[in-house]
Amino acid sequence: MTAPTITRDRVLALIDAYGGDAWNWPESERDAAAALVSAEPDVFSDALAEARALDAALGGVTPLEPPAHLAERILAAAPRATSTQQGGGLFTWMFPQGRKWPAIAATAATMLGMAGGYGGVAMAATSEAEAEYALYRAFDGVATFEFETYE
Amino acid sequence: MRTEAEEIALAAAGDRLAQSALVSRHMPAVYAVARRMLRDDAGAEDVTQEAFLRAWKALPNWEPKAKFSTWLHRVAMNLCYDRLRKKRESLPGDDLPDQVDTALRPDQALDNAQKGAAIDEAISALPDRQRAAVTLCLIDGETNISAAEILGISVEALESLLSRGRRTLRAQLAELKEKRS
Repeated sequence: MTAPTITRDRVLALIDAYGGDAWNWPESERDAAAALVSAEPDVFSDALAEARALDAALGGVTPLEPPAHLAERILAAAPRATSTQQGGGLFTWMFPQGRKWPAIAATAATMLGMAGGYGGVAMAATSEAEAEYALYRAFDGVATFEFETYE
Repeated sequence: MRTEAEEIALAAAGDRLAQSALVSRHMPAVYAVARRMLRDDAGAEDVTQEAFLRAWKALPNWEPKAKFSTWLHRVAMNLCYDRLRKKRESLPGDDLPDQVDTALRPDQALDNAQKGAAIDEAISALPDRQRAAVTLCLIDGETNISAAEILGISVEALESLLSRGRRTLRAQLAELKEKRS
């Protein structure tokens, strides 16, 4: 694979447009241009000196900071989340985990109650295996309810 | 770490953190470009605000074909050109030669003796398109491809503007130096 080639005129054009710092030259031509400058420094020394003097002057431009209130004004006009997406307000305070929390709590309470009922039967069982079987039977056929809320 | 597309989707959905991140990342650069183009604080604020207003409207249908930064800069640059055109009350054509702003008075040049002020004045006095190219590439640090895309021109045309801009700056700085000495 041959190295990309570049002409002297093209390197001078790059210096003329982008300045004397190779990092500012287009990425696709940077290496080839830098190699040619390195190989023939006398050809480019005057152009580089002139470009670098202007680069130094450009380095002295006054940084421009936006006014403090501008970000706030821009954000004030930004899109708001819709009511179904919002997490604020009384609803969130009452149901911090969202709508599903009460449903999960109710389901757990039901299952515990049912398990407790069967567990009472299990305690009367004659053997440990029978007691364990009775307890597990409490959960057979118990559907998991998902309470849906409608607005 | 979120991708830009993810952050934009969140911002479009009203996520305040994502919106703040977009503003803090892109607003300062957009403002600085607008300020250099318009040479006017109030105008730069208006352009920056308008550019983000258009961004908020565009976000729900955002397609990540271009970088958000490039798109935003392009919107801001077009808004700047609109303002400059209205100011001059005419539309500069491609055939018209760039006009150097002669507002740089000799007494101003003598008063603003410091290098920083001199280069600021020199950039401010550049013709619009040269000023745009110089601001984007040589100050803002945009790549040639990105700057060309922002300006809606070819890379070759951008390089031509940069070369002319640099030559104009050198001439103006030399003139300022001569007036001071």
